[in-house]
Amino acid sequence: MPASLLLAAIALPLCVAPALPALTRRFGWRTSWLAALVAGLSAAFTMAAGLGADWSYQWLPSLGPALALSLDGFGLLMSALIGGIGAAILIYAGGYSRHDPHLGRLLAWLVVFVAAMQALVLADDLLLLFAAWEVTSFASFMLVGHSTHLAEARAAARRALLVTAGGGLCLLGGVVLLADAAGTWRLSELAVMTDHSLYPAIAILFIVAAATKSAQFPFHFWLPGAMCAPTPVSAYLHSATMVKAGIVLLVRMQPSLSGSAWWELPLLIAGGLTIVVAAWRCAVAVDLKALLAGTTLIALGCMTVLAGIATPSAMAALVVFLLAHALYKAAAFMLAGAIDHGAGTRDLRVLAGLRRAMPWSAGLAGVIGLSLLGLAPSASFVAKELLLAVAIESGPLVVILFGLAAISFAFAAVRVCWAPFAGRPSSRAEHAHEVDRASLIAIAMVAIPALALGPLLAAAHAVLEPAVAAAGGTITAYQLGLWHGVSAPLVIGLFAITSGLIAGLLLHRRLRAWLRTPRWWDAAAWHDALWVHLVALAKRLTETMAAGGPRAAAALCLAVTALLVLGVIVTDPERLPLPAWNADASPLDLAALALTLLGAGGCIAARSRMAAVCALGAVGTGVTLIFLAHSAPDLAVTQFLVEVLTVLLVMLAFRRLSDGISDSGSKLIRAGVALSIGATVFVLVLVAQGTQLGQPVGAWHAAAAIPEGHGRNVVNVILVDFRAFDTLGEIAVLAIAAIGAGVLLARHRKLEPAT
Amino acid sequence: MLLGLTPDILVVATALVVLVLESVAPKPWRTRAIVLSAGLGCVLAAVAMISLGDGEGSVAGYTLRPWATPLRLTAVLSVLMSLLMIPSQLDHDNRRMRRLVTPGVAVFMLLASLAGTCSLAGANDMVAFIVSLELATIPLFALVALFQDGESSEAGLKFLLTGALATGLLVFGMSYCYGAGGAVDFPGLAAGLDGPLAVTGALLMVLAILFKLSAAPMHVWAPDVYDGAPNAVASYLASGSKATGLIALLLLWEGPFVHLHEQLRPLLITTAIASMVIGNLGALRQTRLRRFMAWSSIAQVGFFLLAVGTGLDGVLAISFYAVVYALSNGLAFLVFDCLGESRPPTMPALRGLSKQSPALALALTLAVFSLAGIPPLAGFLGKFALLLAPAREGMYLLVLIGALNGLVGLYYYLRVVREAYMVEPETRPDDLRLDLPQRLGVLLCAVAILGFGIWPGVHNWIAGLLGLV
Repeated sequence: MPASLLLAAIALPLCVAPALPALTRRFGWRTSWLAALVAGLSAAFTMAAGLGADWSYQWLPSLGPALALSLDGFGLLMSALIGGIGAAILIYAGGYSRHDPHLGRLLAWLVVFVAAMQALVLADDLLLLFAAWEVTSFASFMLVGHSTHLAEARAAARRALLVTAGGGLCLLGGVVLLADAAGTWRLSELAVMTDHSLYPAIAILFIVAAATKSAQFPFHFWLPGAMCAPTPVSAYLHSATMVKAGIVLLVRMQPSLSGSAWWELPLLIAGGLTIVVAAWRCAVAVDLKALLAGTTLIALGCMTVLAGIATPSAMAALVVFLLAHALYKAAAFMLAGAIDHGAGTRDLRVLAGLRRAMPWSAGLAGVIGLSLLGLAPSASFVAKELLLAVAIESGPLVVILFGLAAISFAFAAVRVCWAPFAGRPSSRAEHAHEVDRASLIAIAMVAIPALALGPLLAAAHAVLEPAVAAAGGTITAYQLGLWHGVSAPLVIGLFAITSGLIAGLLLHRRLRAWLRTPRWWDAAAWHDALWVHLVALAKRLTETMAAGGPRAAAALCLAVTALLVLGVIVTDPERLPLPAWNADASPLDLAALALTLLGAGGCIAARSRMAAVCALGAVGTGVTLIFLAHSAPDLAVTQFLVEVLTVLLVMLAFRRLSDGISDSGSKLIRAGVALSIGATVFVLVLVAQGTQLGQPVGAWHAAAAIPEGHGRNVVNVILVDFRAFDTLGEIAVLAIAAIGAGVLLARHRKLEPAT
Repeated sequence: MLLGLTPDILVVATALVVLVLESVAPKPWRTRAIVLSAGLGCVLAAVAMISLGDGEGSVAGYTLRPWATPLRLTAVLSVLMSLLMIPSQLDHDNRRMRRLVTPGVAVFMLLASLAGTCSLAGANDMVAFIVSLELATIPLFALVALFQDGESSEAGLKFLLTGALATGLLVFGMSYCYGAGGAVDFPGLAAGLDGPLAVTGALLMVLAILFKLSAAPMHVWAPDVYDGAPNAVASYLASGSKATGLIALLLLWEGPFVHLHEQLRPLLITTAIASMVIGNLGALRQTRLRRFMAWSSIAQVGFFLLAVGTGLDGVLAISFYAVVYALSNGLAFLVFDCLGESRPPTMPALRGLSKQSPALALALTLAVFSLAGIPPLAGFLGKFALLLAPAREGMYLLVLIGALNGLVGLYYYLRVVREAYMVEPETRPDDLRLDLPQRLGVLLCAVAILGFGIWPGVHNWIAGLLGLV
């Protein structure tokens, strides 16, 4: 029973989601409470299942992957966050998007997303992990593109999908290689892979996948673009959960893949560059959500760096930071949405003095601000202490990076939680109003735990310890405490907060002027340009091919055939059977040769289609003469009949076309193709001449004709006795061809009587 | 033993019944009677294949091969999908159609081609092989030219000319194989084919089959022909006809060419990569729906070819994906067909579909996402198996190239979804009227596309047929 609860945690939201649009039409925004209940239940199910529960089903026995779920400490923590934050955000969505005609669709995709995320963190099978990963990408695409009337939203949705799905394909590659190398699809059975010959490829593929999903440099650009999504979506997918999927992947793979430069160096570089680039973005941001997106990038960069350091204390810091960040960032985004709703803008340059109009929001902003600043007693304070402690162990570069991160967080705290509410009310603030109660409840549901969890973390050590251990880390209750004396992390943290406060309160206008972003620096533009160029290339190629028409098509096919056949023959000339040279030629042979050459020459020189076809007929006649000269009169008759028919049919088909032959295209290429085909056939004939058949089937048929077939005409016996079924088939084919041709021609006649 | 031939006999009998109905059924319900009886025949044949598909042995020179059952089933499925589209081509006020050929002949041709595909799977020598292959191909020339406007006739002529070239190559190659192997039956050839002469013959034959599959570089006919052909025929060309080509290729590969793998493998790998790249590039810019499907089907063939020559794993992957592909591709064409012919078959015709008919828009989304290989749809499982097969042989680079091409595929399949959901139409489109069979077809396909990706029954059934479980 406990094990199947894991399945229920995924199946319940998946089953409820399709019904939500219909329910929303009936019950309006109140449906969001049901959706929230489902998300909450899904987390409750995993908690009820208990640590160590696992469930599996032999899915594809012939390929190996199974549907396998298992619950470890880290999975439980993530599952609780997904369900808990999900519930809060679904409630918020009901308030925020109350007047959205497509609220039902929004709720449905959010709930699908809950299911996919649960599957991702509970998966014990590589393929299931990948499938869940891709579903989160698609749910994100649907949610970012939710406001379909905005061209910007459509472009951002596509960009986000192409980047994350591209990363997903890297993950698929990595998963296939890893399963092949490790000999198992079970995550829990993976051994340490660092010595395997495929290890570098596997490591890089997994890192690229994680970097695309968690928006790490150079794939960081899709995340700020995805901020066009409705705020509940930004709050849930693009801060609290989906972007954490990359980190989850890194944590899951850490036992088997970490421990070499192939793993650590790319993670340190990507994470470090992301922190720097995102700090820049934060400093120049004028949009509330863009600023928060920047801090999300920084947080993810810090987690990536921690995964790269990969010591037990780094992994412990990662888990605690992940928990704190998920809570306060979701709250911060919901607050941003509330400000947007209340004041009608997200522009940081005009927001001021909202505290009178939005008192509850202002209060919650204070709570969130403490977390964002990283001040005691918030959970993020504990996380920051752990982070800086790891940085001090790891060297000055990491200290600088994490210091920069802390400064940026403090800067964002001032800009988001203080500036919009403080100061003289702007014209905007006069018309501002408080947001609805559901939204406030939802914000409080995550903001208050984010703050209150700080002092409780040490007490909750027993709960947190399995999560940290599952991620490969170790942590003590003491480390989770708030006060460790005046230590280096505390000093660095206070310094960073002070700098951030100064920058946020006094320098923000100047920062924007100083750090003007150069145009080439826009990675999103690079990404778009890549696709634009690819599409342009495709256009050029298809147009070139289309301009050539059927002639180019035929030339391509023939050239490839010639190339391949000549290739085979040239590469292995010794084993080719070549005939002995025979210089005797009868006058008839010579005549046939002359006629053939003449026909070919005429065909080339012809200025009209009909003339060319007639000249080709002459070539065929030459072949007929050769058959005659070598005592094969039956073949000669057949050949002649076929030749006449072909010429007539081609003439019939061409009679509607203009008679002239256009001279477009390169003659050189055409000559080259023709000559190569000629050479190919020549060589082939030569080779055929030299081949000695082991045992011609004809001999057996001739001998068996009378005793077994009771017939003197061997050809007849073969047709109606030895190969009677084939003849029947052939007759059927001919009959069908005749019916088809008859129908088409009959119709044609009916069409034409007027002319 | 003759029981094993039941599906084939059913197909041929249905074809004959259709031909008789064409002349005796009263005019008011002729089309309906023909399509219904053809559909019934196909369903019976499919049931017979499923229940008898694991039989092995030989009947009257006809070899029963369990591995070919899923591919034959693919062709039957594809015919069923086309049958759903034929009435709409006849009944609706059709822009392109002044007077179509009588429906009986069209359906008869389709069934004749199916009969060719079925008997191809039983061929055990070169003569039966080529006769079956021609039986499967020749009716299609007439079918492509079903409409009597310039586009359709032009497409028919192009198809005929390239088809003739392919047949020429096939027979030419066959003669070299006979010369090198000294036999016409497959076991004899398998024992005898070796050396450069045999490779030359095999090469020519494989090139001819690449025509049938519309794989690069022999793909050049596909875009024009699909575009000019009626929906029902283009849909069959895209999946049913490809099943024929796959049967032919696998038949030769495991039979006569069994000692030539080393020499032929590079050709197939090159073709696979070239097809994926060229097909994807071609599809990126297309706005005409059938042309778009043609280019994307060229890319899809590349995926199929990745798994040829990777043993039973590969055959399993190909067979499963063929079934899934027939469903997804057929569903996409069915939705295009439901749009009617009042608007030109281009991408903008899809605009507003999500408002006109949310169910159709959803079905189309499922179809193209399945073609793009998105989990948890069946197309994902199929593509995954196709990539896994070469990976198990150690060809990892091929897997990466395949995955990269999957991304480009996603880009243009998304365009279809974007047009259906996100772009507003300039004029308000008319309401769509769907008849019961169309509704049923769309529903069944959509459910199957979703179901086969999650429920592994079909995959495991095929694995059982191949003796892999």
